[in-house]
Amino acid sequence: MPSSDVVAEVSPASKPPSNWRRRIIWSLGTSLAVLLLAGVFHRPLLRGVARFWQVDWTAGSADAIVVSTGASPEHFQQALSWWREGRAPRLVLTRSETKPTDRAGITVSMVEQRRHQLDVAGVPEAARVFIGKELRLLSQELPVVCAWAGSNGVKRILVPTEPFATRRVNWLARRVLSPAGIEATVVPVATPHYSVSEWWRSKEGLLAMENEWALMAYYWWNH
Amino acid sequence: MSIPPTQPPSREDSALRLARWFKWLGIATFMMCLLLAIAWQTRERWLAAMVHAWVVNDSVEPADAVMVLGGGAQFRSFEAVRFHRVGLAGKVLFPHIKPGADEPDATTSRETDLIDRVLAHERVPAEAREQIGRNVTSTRDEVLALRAWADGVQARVIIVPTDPFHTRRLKALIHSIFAGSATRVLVTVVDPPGYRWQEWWRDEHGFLSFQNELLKSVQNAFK
Repeated sequence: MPSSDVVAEVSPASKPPSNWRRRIIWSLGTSLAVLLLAGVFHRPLLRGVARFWQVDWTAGSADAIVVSTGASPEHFQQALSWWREGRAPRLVLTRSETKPTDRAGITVSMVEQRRHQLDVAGVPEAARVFIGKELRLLSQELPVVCAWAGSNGVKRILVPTEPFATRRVNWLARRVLSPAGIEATVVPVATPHYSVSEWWRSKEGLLAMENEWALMAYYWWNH
Repeated sequence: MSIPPTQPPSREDSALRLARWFKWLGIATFMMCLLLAIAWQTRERWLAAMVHAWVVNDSVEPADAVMVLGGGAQFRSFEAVRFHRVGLAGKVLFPHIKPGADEPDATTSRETDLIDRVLAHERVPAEAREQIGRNVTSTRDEVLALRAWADGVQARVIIVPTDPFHTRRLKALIHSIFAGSATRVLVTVVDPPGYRWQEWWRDEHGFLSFQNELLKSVQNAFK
């Protein structure tokens, strides 16, 4: 056999690709295909993420509605409208921390502002309860709620909260309240700052989602 | 020259290669576990070191003015008052922040108004208070307004107190906007309410603020 024929048989051009080369090509191809699919279907995917993350419960009847005095106006109004609808006979407000300007007498504290709003809304004294003092974290609020509920025979509470915070609030509420036999229904309340169905389109939505992922990890680690 | 055809690997070769692969996998796993154990044991030290490396805290000296950045009426304005009281800053500057969507008829935002009220309440004389800029919406706008003011009065030194994790990004922004200026801008730390920033990982607000600043810095790096 002439030697030129043997060289032709094993020349690099005709050599089959090595295993590594084949693996790299396959991995790159698959990654590209996944990226392409993620790009084409990003809307349903991101909407799915929001749907998965948000605990989407609806408000039923309960023994009390719990909201922080420092909660957003939307949460407070939602709590008030549930009370008006007769979903619960009592409105429980956890006292949030006072701000430096409140302490200096420059501004009116949230506790006083909420008290005034309840007066205007016609919520009688017997139907409202203020509990705790200087509460700044959810992990400080829930034990206070638990103690109050335990001493008042409350078994079911309604908690209005931000859509993406529902998973975290629900998770911690179960850990703190369930052992005492208290059932918390955490209900998402729409926020004017972003739309849940298109959260990735606004800075506020992106920040809310990212912050909740980080906080959930923090809660898993610390509680 | 002819190249001998490649032989398929024998069973012994394959077993030897697999054993070698497992040996390296074992070493890598052991090293990873060792590193994780060391990281866990020394976590307080490197988490504290990380934040100390991140935070910029210039030493304070007598200045022409102290600037209260927007969003900090509750604590930055009180710190500015302190600097003014001890005679470190003759003037207290604050920005004219664009009114938000929820205050359509306002000419000044609630935040600007609150800073002014804090300064007035803390007896900073009217001639020592100065509003700068017009309808600012970001830290960048505020620093641009500060540069314009500094150029106008030929200021020598200005103090800007802010929350610890924000200091690095603010310093970088000041560095670029005050390029070529004779004015020195000192960035100092204001302790955030409720937690010690040096132990940021112990509090969820500290954890969230630090990770948000890291993200914003990464985002700015790609702008």
